[in-house]
Order: sequence, then C-alpha cells, then structure tokens
Amino acid sequence: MKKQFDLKADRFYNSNHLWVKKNGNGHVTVGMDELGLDSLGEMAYLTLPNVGSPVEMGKAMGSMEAAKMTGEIYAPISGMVVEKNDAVLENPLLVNEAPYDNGWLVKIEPINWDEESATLVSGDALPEWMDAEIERFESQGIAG
Amino acid sequence: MDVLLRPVVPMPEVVLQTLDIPVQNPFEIRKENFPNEITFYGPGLKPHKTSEFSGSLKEFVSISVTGNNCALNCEHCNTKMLDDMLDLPSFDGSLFDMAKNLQKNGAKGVLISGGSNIRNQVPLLHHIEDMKRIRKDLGMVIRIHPGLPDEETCEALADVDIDGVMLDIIGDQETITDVYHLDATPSDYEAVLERLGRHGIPAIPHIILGHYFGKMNGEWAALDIIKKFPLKSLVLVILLPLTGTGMEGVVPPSLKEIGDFFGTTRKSFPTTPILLGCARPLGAIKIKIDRMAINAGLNGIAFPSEGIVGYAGDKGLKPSFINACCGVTW
Repeated sequence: MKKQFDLKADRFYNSNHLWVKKNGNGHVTVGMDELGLDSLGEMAYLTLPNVGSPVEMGKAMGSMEAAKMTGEIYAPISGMVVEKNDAVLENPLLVNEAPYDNGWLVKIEPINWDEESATLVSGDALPEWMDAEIERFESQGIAG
Repeated sequence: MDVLLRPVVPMPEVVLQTLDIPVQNPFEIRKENFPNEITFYGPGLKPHKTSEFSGSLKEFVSISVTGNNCALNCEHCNTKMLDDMLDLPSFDGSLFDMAKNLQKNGAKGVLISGGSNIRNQVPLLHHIEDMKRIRKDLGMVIRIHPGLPDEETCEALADVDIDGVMLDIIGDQETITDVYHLDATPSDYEAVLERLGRHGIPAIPHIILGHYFGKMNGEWAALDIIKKFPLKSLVLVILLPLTGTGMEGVVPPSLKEIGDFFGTTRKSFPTTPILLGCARPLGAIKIKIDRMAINAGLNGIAFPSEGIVGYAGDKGLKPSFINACCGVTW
C-alpha cells in the first residue's frame, strides 16, 4: 500500500517539494512538504538566506544536511527575504515535526508572483500530482 | 570505596606507546610523512552536495547480496544500513549482470556488502566467480564488506583481486555481546586480520567511536589489535544514532574524546593513511569533527561538511575528490 502524505490545499508546490503560501500582506511563506521530507529523513542542519537578501526562483538560497541527503535549497519563487525562521536553524528537526506550521523556512516578498506561481502546482491539480510524485520517488529509489 | 573495588583495566598499548612519543602536534606528524594533499570522498549511498564538493551516486555503487536481510539485528543498525544499497536478490540477474548494468550507467566500482548470518559472515562464496568477472571483464574496482570472513572465504577472495576488505574491528567484549549480539570475542577480530594478511587481501579496518551506546569502550583496544597487522588504510567513523535502532537517542562521544582519539591514532600510525569515514553525527557538530580530523592530520574525509575543503586549503593541503569509498583511487 502506498504511503500517504498530507498536502495543504491553501498553498503552491514545486518538484523540489517546497511549498509556498501567499499571506495576507502580499508576502509568501516557504517550507518543505511531507513527501520531500520523507525522502530526506531527519533534518540535521540548515542554512538560510539573511533578511534583505534577494533570491531567484530555481537558484540556491540555502543548504541542508539531512539523514539521507546533503544539498542546496533552491528558491521556489523570486523576491526579497523578509524573515527567516530562527527556530528551525536552532532545531532543524522542527522542519520534520511541523512542516506546514512552525517548521517553515523563510518569508519572501515576491517580485514576479503571477508569472512564477503559475508554474507551481496548486488547487485541484494537487492529488494527481502527488500520486505521480510518489510514483516518481519510488521508481527512482528515493522514497523514504 | 567503590573505586577500590573496580577491576584494574590495563592501559591500552597504543596509549602507552604514544606516551613515549615526544609531544608533537599530530598535524606535524602528517606533514613529515605525507605530501600536503587531502582527499575528499563521496561514496554514493546518498546525494551529497556542498558549495565545494559534488558527490555522484553513479560512480561507485553499494550492493547488498542479501537485500534487506540480516540475521544480526545489531543495536546500531537494525538492517537500516542495507536500505540504501542495491538489492541483489530482487534483481533479475547475477551480481555480474548487475555490475555490468551499473557500468553502462557510469559506475567504476562497487561495494559488495550485505547482511550477515549469526556468525557475522556475509554470504559471499557463491558470488566469487561473478566478482572475478567484474574485475577481469569489466575492470571495475571492488570493495568488500565481509563481516568476519572464515578461512574458506578469505581463500576465495584472495583470487578476486579486490581493492580492499572493509570491516569493523571491535576490541570490547561488551560491544560484541550487547551491540552485535554475537557469540565472538575480540580475538576473533584479530584472527580475521591475521587471515586477511596471510592471504594477501588488503585490509581496511574501521573503528566506530562510541560504538557501545555512545561510550568509548573498546576503541583503544581495537587500535592495539590493528597495530599488529599490515593495513591498506585505517578508517575512523563515529556512532551515528539512527532512528528505529537501539541507538536512537544515544549521545555520541564528546568532541574532546573524538579529538583525543584522532590524535592518538595519528601518533600510533604515523605512516598509515587514516581516513574519516561516512558515518558520523550530522549537522553543526559534523563541521567541528571534520575540522578536528584535519587538525589531527587525517588524510581524507568522506562526505565533507560545508566549508571543510576551504579549511583544509587554509592548512596548506591540496584537495582532490573521488566519488567512491575511502581510499579508492581510479
């Protein structure tokens, strides 16, 4: 039986398994989704961009070391970092424990939201996309 | 009074010997005996990328000849380490066929590993002919995890032309009994090193620091055992407490204990390549451990932390990079 992963319907997702949630003030919050974290294992170390840093969609904005992978974190959206989550820097496991809440990574003021968000997955497309992603992870041997 | 009732534990020979060595920075010992070079390894198993190093999962691939099966449910592993290896029993073909496919995808070498029987022997004998073909026909580098190979297995491996045998050396009875649940003694590990040496098989012993539930119990004694035999290289790893194992939540040895052990090992083995292997605690502490390894004059590091290549450069060491197990060269 396939593993099941929770996806919050109020946000956008990309193939690196980062989520983006539009906030009321026009900023977006960024975090990691459950499927991505399942394949990464326990998070041990994170670096995140400083407040005020520009980030560009698809370019590295930080790095991570998890039980099953060490690598870069790519920005899911372009803009300016307005806040970073110091709590996950102090306790990286928080990302695994509360990926959609206290385990968020950064908040960004987007500069090209309409165009870039259209490339992310959201709404009714989510269930089918998640099924395909689970299959992709299993076929590539990267499922947790 | 309690102190008086404790049995007197003899000081390990390696420690006694290093007491006689004039106080010398271990990094200076390295400088005297090796070129100013350091190698960073990416042994596959998991994606590893820092700003200075980019590992490959394709060049060197680990294969488990038993899939996920192991008769020893060791407290530190519980078969978890087999999870990231290719599962030979599920593959439609022989070990040679699997290696040939891997080579087509860019593999230059393989680690042939697997679970053990209750005597900590990995069942390798019926793959010997395939291993010979992997060497002869494909020219691939072969490393082996044999567990505690018996005479017959060593004799067979001697004909394969393997690059090296990697095995944990345990100098403490409690660790053998309580962690491995194995009916063996430290002398069995010594016997294996003797057997490998007699058959001319390059030995690459590993010592796991903190193997006894985070405590340093038999690591110094392991050095005593290893010192008696010829080595290709010596690999130090540190207990990485894995979730879902009996070591979950265990606190690894302190940085001081780790640093002291690195230093003593360098002093005890001044001309042997000493490498920091893949397993060690992750995160911020890993960066400190890696720096200590460089300061103590170790010759190579697997899965280097962010910034450590630059740190080695600052110490005057020229880096090289190999996507394979510690000590492999192409």
